[in-house]
Amino acid sequence: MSDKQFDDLFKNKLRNIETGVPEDMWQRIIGKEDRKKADVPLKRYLALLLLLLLGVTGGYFLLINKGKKTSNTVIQASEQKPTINEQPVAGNNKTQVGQTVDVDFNAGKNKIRNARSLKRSRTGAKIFNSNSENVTANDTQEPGPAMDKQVAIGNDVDSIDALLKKPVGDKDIAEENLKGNDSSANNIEPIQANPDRFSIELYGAAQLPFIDQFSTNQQYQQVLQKAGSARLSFSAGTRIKIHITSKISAKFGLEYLQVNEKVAFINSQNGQQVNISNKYKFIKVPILMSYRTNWLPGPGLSINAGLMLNLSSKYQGIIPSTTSVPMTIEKQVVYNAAAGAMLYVGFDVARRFLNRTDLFLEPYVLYSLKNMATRYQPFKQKLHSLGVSIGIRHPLFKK
Amino acid sequence: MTEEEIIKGCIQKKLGCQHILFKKYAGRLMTICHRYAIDVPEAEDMLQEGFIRVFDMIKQYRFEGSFEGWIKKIFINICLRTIQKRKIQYQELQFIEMIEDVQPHILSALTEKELLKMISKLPDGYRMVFNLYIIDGYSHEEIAALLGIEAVTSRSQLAKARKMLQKQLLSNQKIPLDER
Repeated sequence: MSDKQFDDLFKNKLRNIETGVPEDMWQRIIGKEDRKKADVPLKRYLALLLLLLLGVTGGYFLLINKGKKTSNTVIQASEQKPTINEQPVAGNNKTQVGQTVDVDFNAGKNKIRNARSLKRSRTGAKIFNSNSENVTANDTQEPGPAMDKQVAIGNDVDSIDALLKKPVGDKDIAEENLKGNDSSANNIEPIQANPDRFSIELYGAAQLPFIDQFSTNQQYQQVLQKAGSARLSFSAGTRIKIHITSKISAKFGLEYLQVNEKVAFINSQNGQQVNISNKYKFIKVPILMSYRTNWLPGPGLSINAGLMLNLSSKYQGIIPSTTSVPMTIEKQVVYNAAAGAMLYVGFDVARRFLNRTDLFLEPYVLYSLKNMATRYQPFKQKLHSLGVSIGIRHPLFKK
Repeated sequence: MTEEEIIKGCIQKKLGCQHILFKKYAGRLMTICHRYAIDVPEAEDMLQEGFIRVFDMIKQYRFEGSFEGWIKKIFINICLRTIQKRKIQYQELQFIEMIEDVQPHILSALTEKELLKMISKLPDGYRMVFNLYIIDGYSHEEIAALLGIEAVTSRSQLAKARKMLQKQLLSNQKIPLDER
């Protein structure tokens, strides 16, 4: 037989024949199309994550810069010349003892941390009254250093000098105030970026999953629930913790979560027992806010809450179909590629165990917000978990 | 529903039209996938990928020429790409020497399924060239451009594929393909 004859035989026999297509092929095609669509929310998640990250980082640096500016203002304010509104005695421009001197401590800001004092020195006037041998002020308990410096280097130095030199009884309160405030002025420290504001957390967790299955077909729901039993699962991940304020911080990271389930049922086709361990694997992005309480000393106790966004999911194993025939979950026909977000609530108890490193223990609850089964399945499924993670937290930057 | 209406529906992403298109062509396209694939799961994956690609690209179809030809080209490209993900070696065979002549009745007696099985046992390089040249009607130059090989290589791969198939027919035994 010549090559041509040989070729023609193959060509004629195979050219236009039709072969069988698997019954679930159409569902597989649509399922994969759905998965492609599910990639869009994934991109949205990533964009949201990026925006949040930028927002928090931007906000953080804004706070730092604002802090620095305010700190500079303190120094400038203490160098400013004050405006002293005197009530002149006729024919004498100088302030006399027994008169009331209104001093505008417009720039009497001392420390950022003492906002109350700052507010008062802005608006308040300090009244010296020699007759009563008392000094009355809006904030006599915590006078601002800038306020007294202003007095010392004021426009009308003579009148201030006179005021200070004048004995006002057993104790020259004005001088006392000055001394006290000088020491307080020495306490002014420019605010700097705290190297501990960014820390990294590495953790691993053991968790007990709860597989929540629902089907309008009650018989199938029973089959599913009877077949599957959740097993101890685990997760591991890393998070960056950014302190926004001394108490509030944001956490972002990446986490691998594996949920294990034991599945056992009778295959209705051959009557044989099916025993398999299913694995639901997820890569998640935790976006959490953390609030540090005062309930415990040191690193103490923090409450964490937020979302765990699902980046990707992979499934291994078998579940029973409506007719109790084994159905593989590996191809994205049974479960969605993007299993949706989970709500996270937990609290961590931390303890310093090295120079700058904390050890923390974090019990938490994970609540799935979205049905992970595809729309072709006659059931809905959510995975919730109770877990406990243990990890270490260390500042990202050196002091 | 005419083919044009089905295609237009597919362009508008209408699920019903996509399903009609799938039902109309799936069988024939599955044969193409079987010819290029090494096994059934690979053929099924090719079919799945192929339809997803067709639904994605259908808006580019200009209603010129045969739609079936257009769709087949997409599927052949998907099949080649799937095979090329593996490391292909355009292997040399040791038994290129003279073999006994194959009688036409031996080949005629074989079913399509058996022929497909024989083709699937060819090494990747042989199988691609054999399918492209013999059944899909590509020239050696076109095959060379598609696979990134020389036209001479394509010719030699085809010759070796023929010999390998003839030997299979004669021996009616599986040829051990350790290299795959």
